[in-house]
Amino acid sequence: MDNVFELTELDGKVALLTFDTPGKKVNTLGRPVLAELTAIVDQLESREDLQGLLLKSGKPGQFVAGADLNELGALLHASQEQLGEGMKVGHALFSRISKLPFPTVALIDGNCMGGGTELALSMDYRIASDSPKTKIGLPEVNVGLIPGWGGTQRLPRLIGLNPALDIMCSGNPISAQKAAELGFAFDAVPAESLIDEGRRLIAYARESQDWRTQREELSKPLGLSEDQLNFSRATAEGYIMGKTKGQYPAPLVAIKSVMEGANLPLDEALKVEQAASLEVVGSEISTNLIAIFFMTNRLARDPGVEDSSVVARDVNRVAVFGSGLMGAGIATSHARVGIPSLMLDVSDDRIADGMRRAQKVVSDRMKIGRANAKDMASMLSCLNTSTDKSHVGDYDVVVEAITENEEIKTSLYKELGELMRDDAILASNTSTISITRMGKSAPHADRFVGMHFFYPVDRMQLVEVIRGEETSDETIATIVALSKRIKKTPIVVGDCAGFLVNRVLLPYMNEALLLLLEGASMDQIDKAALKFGMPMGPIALQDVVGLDTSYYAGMTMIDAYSDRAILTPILKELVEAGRLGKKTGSGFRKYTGKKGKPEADPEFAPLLEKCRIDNKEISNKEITDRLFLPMFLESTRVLEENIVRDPGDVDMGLILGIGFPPFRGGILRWADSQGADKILKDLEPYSELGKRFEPTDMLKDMAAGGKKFYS
Amino acid sequence: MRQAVVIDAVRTPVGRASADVGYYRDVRSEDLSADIIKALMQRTGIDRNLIEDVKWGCVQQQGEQAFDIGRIAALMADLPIETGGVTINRNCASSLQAINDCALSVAGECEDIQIAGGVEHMEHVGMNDGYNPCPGLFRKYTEAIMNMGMTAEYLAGKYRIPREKQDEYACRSHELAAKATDSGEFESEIIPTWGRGENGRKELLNGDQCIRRDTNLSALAALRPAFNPAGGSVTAGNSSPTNVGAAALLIMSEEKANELGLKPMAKIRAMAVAGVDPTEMGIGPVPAVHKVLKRAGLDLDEIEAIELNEAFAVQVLSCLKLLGIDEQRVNTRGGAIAIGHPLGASGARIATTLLHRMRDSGAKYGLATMCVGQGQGVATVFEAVNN
Repeated sequence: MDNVFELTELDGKVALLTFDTPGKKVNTLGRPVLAELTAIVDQLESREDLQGLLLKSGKPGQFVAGADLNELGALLHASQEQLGEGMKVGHALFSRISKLPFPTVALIDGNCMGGGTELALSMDYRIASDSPKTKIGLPEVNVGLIPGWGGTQRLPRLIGLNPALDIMCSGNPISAQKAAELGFAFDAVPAESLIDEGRRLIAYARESQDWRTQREELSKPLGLSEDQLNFSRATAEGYIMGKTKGQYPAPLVAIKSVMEGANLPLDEALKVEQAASLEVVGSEISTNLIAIFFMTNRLARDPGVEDSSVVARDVNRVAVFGSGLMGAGIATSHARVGIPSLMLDVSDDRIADGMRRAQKVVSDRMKIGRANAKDMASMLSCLNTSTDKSHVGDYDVVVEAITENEEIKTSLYKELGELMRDDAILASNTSTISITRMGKSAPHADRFVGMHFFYPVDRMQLVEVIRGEETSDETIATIVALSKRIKKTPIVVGDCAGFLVNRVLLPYMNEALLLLLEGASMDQIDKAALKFGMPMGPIALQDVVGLDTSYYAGMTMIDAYSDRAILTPILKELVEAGRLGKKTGSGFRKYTGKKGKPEADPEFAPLLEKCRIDNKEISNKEITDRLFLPMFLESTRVLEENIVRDPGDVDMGLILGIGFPPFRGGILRWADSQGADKILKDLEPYSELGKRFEPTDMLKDMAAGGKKFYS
Repeated sequence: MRQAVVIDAVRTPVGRASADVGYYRDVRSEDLSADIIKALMQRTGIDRNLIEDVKWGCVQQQGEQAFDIGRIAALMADLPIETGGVTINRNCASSLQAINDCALSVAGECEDIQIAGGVEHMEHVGMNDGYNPCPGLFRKYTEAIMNMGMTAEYLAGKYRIPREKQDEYACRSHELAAKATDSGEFESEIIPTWGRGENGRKELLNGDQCIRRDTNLSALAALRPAFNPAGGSVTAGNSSPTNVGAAALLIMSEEKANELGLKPMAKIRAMAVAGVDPTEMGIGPVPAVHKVLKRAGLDLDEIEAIELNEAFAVQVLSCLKLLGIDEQRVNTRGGAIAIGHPLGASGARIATTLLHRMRDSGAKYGLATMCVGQGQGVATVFEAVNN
């Protein structure tokens, strides 16, 4: 391996260590890198002649991205000894750096994450470049870990308990300015002044001997009184429990490490951190979260097609038919990133409603400080409106988001043939109708594609890009690239009823209704799903989605998958009673209280009685099994039919599309953790329920061969 | 050393801080302040030209409470331009501090005839509006020390005050406040004040808005913990609400009162402030009371009337437990849980209620004390004159 570090000497006996991994965009702290750094520290420890040391990255705008996640992700089956050993190496190295016989300064320009931040913390001072690219953080909790190279002990001693807990429990990075305000960095300065300022700081540190007093101060206990310790721990844990329901152990372990180390001398406190770290390193949750990190990266790089010669076309302007919830959301997403967009609808009143929705997207963000008046102005300046269809002639991509009715949609497509530019792409936001079939009515079936957004468009990350039989690679690549430009995560999906997410979701939603009709209570069903980690129970989700939508989508699925989809009469009853869910004030529950919160509704009971199949007691285990096993089996059918190209597409689709719990890594990764043979056994008691619980060939093969979705 | 005395003490009815139904939703804090000062002057008959200073408590000094609302209120109350005005902030104890500062000024041979009091309009100027916490404050704390409810939860755990006890105490507060209102015990301290009733009509108000006559233990028990939903015990029902109100006292030296022929209600016998850990700010009265009794040369047993501000039931109960005070002597006309807690006015409000209680019951010594956010306690001992 080529050297990643270069040690040079500036005038006045100041050493400059440059970290620059050849051939990589970022610097990470893998084992070989730590070994090389150890060798350099060996040399430096005897250099009493040096005035000081500056550490910088050779990559502008990229300091250190953190530990090597490939190494951490591979620790699932490592022994406690192996894990402990890995941790000790980092701790020992950083402790030696913190004791070098001269003042040391980290010069931080750009991303400084995880192990990079801990490396900087092991030095006497930090100066950050004031560039907006400078982001300093300890994001370990995002991958189920805690800062394990001294971060939980050095950071609170440096900047105080609350700011340190904030940084490490949220995983959110801070800016250079914030780092300076908190005292993490001595100052935030222009990148080109970093070395000068570093030298000035070394000169000051030597003259004042501040570096020695600081080392002494920071190696002491933080010194919390009993009240400070108890109160802080209780409130910090309470806050995290409120946010995570305890499903993500890492932030709680980080708090424990901070609190249990706070009143110890640094050397002993670092041992507390090592022990705490072992609780999470190599854990299943951490492995799952690291896998999501890599799957996210893969999707970010995925062009959507196998053929690498395919080039996405330039998209300069986008037109959207429909100014309803979806249409307005889609047009706004484009306008917000500066793509000139046109929102079309049939009347001025509807357009006015659409514009109100567009403005609300940005004004809601302004209320929480995530946008300002400038963002509003620039969004509006990119958003045009019209009631005249002929205007679509100026647009590269036309997204259709009108009512979910095949006849109305296809008759619009036929009109568009005359109006659209001959080389333009037509994309449909349909959530259920076949892209292949509708493609036959489109001006050009090869330039017709599904572009399925989720509601609310501005907050849901996922876009399903649906490939019809005739859809060309170029069209797919163009829509994938466009989706990324509007900051969404596209997943390419083959054409089938429900596409990916709704197809896999429907069995789960349907089973929840069957359980209800068989005797489980709504609360029992929702609680089982929440306990599994879903953000919302299936009955509650029905009411939010809208029971009319759910009913019509269900009918489509029953048509398409008649061997396993079962009609649940309750939806029809509710729709006919005008109980369409939250939007009408009642559905399964009622929403008529002061804050519109769900409440049990006595008027629902007679409807339930009318449709009831049974009134038996159902165990929580059965509920959980029956909710998630059909979802899993449908996922294997999606893979069998090559609807997606990778198991990761299913898992990411569910995580981004329905909030499947990230700590489980997705339904397939969850299945891997159970093992195919165990799932086969889990299915046995439900074999009488029919095809929807029948093991698929893929599952049987996997069980026979001991295979996993992810090796 | 001159001895400070209180001639009279008055307050407005306390309104709810609500934009929909609050009594003072369209009354400003400056007007509320000026009106209560005018009412005090009218009732005592003091020559306005003799008043040397207005010391006015107010916590959130921005918006309509910005700059020096003490001076603004003095000008609006038609006090002569020679009269000063200062705004004092010791959070919840601001106007108790204003009283103490007036007494100090008298003792220190500085300004003699003064008006002490305070105001807070917690709807027009929200308690947390514009607050930007300094990270350096939280070296050894979480930011939860700024959340009074979380400090109350901490007391519940540390001093083992169960939910039921808190709810019982809250219930008592409402019952006593309702009884005091109905039997006319507040008539001498409340100045009828114009505001808007819950029905939307302009009204000359004469009672406190937040007293719940219909509350009971099972209704209180049904409330969810407001600050720690998972396992907490402090609810909206056993905490003080957010409010709007003002209170004012006329203070001068004993000699001056004699000279003017004014009959004082009480002497300000002793004063104290003490700091406690911000994590248990509610316990502030404990060291403050110990200090003030020592200064007054009195035993707790000699104090017949006690007003201990009810920020939270758990906080009152913790203080009573540590001080060994029997509930019977405390807040016998209800407390802030029922009457309300308009921050900058509360110190003057409890002192006002205390002085009227002392007069009505013939008590010789009275104690007003309150806890203060970020960990302080303030206490003042009054000694009745001619009781």
